[in-house]
Amino acid sequence: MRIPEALLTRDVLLSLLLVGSVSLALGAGTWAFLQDTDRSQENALVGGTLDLKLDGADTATAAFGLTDAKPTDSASHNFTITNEGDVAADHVELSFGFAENDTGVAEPTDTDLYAELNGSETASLIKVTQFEYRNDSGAVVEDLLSGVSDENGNGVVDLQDVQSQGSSLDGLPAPQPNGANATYLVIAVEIVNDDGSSFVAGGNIEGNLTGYDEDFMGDGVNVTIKVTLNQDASQ
Amino acid sequence: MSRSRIPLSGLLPVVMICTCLATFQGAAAFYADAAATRENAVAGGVLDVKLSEVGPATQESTTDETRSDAVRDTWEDANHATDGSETVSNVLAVNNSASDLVADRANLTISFVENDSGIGATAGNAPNTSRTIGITKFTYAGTDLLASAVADENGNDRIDLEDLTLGETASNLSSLSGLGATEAANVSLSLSGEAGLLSGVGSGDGVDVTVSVTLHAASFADRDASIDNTVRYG
Repeated sequence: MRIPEALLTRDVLLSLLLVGSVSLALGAGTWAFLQDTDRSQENALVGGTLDLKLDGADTATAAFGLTDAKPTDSASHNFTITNEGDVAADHVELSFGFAENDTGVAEPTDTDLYAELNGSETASLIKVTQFEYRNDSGAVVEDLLSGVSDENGNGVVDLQDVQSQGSSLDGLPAPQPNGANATYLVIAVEIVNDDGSSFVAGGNIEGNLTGYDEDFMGDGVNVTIKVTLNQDASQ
Repeated sequence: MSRSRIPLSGLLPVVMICTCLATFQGAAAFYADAAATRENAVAGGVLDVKLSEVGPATQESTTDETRSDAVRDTWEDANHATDGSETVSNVLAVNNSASDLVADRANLTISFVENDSGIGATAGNAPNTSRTIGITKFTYAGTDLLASAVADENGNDRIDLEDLTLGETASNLSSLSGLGATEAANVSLSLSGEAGLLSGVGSGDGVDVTVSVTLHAASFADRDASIDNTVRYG
């Protein structure tokens, strides 16, 4: 029997379409890449902390001071520095400053005594007798006054001198993390005494200073010490 | 002109480099924490003595000045009797009420300079004149200084103006008791001159007396004074 040519062509085309469709379906399945998903849960990525405390707080307010002060009056404080965080610090940095604060008593009305001083002039009449950094056992590891000279020439090392020459002190040993130990900053000040052997009466007459301790009457400063705990030596 | 196009896949290395840089930068930011101590106030008190003329005043002495840093004519008699029959007296109040500091000691300093008048006066005899002016009363804060602090320093067997300026007496007067803040104490002084006690002293001879009061608080010191106290024989 002879198959008509038209019928043959149609059957071939249908067969090819069927094979092609199956092949496409199979091919698509072959090209789909394998994928599998699984979850690793509760892998917490938590940063450590560096938490500096000064006398147990972030800010130690009015830790030391003198008001209505007269010559030879003194004040001191031993600040406790701790790292309550869990990250070890490399070193401690100190910055020291003061600002005028005349909110105490008014200047005397006696013209022989009246001398309205600015903060820096007032600071020159406040002697710094001790400024030390100590380790956990209380031993002095850095005498912060050792490099400070009597720059203003009044015979004593005072707040003005310290501010001028040692306002930023870096590279001091850091306390251990988790409050494991402490370091200490000790500061002591004393109002200058122009009868004292070291004071040079008239040695500093810049600005509104007459060179005598009576200039200090009615004037004052607020002392600020900022302590920074740094994690890395590069800081 | 054909435009070259960067295939999307070519951006992948750039993105990866940026990601690495960002990651590296994050790793270099180290921790730092700061704490500070603030408001550590250091301020000076005030020691400011004031003087007032209290009275009762005699002769030409005045009571017209109060709470001042300098008073005048507290003990004034420019026509003083030569025979010792007159006394010049007044009370000077030493007031610490302008202070907020306690004065730990007081210092009285007496001095004089010649102040003559008229043709009968002898020039250059202020010390002699002062030796003829007797001190009949001298107290501070209720303490009789004539009994406790003053001696016959010049050895002329009487207590006179010059004695107050010399030796142990001057030293004693420099360490009198202090005054609390806002407190006051009186200085009472009476002078009585008699020109005839020494030859060469007579009418027209006189001195200007200065009575200085210094209060001390440690090395704080404030000195005020009564000045122009002329005692001159008439």
